[in-house]
Amino acid sequence: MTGSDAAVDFTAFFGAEYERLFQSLYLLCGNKSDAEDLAQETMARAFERWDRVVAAETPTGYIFQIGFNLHRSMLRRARRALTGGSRVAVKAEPNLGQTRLEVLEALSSLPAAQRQALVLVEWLGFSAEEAGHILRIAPSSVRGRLHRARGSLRETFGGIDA
Amino acid sequence: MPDPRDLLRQALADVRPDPDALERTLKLIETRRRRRRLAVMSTALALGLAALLLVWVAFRPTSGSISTGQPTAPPSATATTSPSPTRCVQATTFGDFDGDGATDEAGLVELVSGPVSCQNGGGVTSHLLSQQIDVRFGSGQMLQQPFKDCQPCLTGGGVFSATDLDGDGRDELAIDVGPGASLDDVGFYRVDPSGVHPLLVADPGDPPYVEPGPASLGGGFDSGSQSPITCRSNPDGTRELVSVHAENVGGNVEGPWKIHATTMVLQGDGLVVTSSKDSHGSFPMTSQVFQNGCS
Repeated sequence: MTGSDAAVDFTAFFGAEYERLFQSLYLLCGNKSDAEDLAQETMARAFERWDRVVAAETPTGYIFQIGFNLHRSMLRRARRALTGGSRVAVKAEPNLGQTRLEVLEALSSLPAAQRQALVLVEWLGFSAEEAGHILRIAPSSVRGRLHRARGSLRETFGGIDA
Repeated sequence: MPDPRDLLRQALADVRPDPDALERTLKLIETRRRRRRLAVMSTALALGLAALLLVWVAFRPTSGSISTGQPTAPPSATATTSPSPTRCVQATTFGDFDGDGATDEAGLVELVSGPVSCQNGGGVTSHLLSQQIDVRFGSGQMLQQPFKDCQPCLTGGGVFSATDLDGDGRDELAIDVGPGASLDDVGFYRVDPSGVHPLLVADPGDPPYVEPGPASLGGGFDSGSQSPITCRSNPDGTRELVSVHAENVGGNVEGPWKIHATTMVLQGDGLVVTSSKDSHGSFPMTSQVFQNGCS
């Protein structure tokens, strides 16, 4: 594959996947600027490893694996800087509606591992097996984290259909 | 009763990515390319300086250490003053890497653009040009090799240790190469005057826990403050490297844990899987990414 072929493929891939990637990282980070930074860094890394992306069983899953690993790294850096937990702050953004703020705060109160499982399965529609592959854990662990995440959200919002 | 998907949809209401995201990403890619080219040029410059240093060392009666001239100095972030780039020695370790019986000193060096203090972690990261391994062999030979395995290095406990995985008197080098799952991955390398080469996990490995190829081993996602990699010296003199993948299948940190342990031995430059074991139960808490019982 020539460099220009790779660029064309990458551009098409970017158009198809970027918005979902950005939204997922927004749900994990709680703010747009971090989500944009992580999403763009993810895509840049994907471009640099394009041969691996196209060779992956599910290129989309590979991209989310990179993005979620970057998110974990970001949390580690934040943890070292603040000596706090993995909870992320929901930064004040203009016109952030009350309901959205409540949902983002509820998400940010979940452990990062539960948040990632929730986003992969509930938002992106991956199966527990696929999510397990992305997170490098067993499907049963994904289900366990989902269960705990739903339980926490149920406490906050007064009940969620399982 | 709200569905989780509806809640996530509410959180994402009107949240749209930057319309210039593609353009920004392509700029980011180009910037990184330029930075890499600059790093290559800087490395060439560093090699030139190293050659000059070698000439200087050849005519100097005594030798010093890589970082500060104090061979027993603890690993710490120090800089040597040079116009550009700044050299930050982030870690050092001593061992006999080439097996000649003399002590060698290895250092992980980060080259940083501009006059950034090596104590400024964020500044070093944002101005980082490249990383390299410097080795001063006891024989007087010097090695400076670009090192690209960091993602980044030394974020999980700062492992940078000489370890003799097979007890042959020749040390291997263990380096925390950065984000794995919950714990950082640790890479294992053979060091000699020709370069720094990763040890290879021999086929078939123990997938998905230990994949064949360059030996970059890491812990399970849940293993938090567990120790995923241990080199142990057995009473009969044999040595083994054990990589542990631990997942918490209980509701709290006490477990129970689902534990998969892969045992390997070093043969030449290859790590050969000799056994693997699955178990459930409690798991001893440690705070080290790599327990080096083979130093």
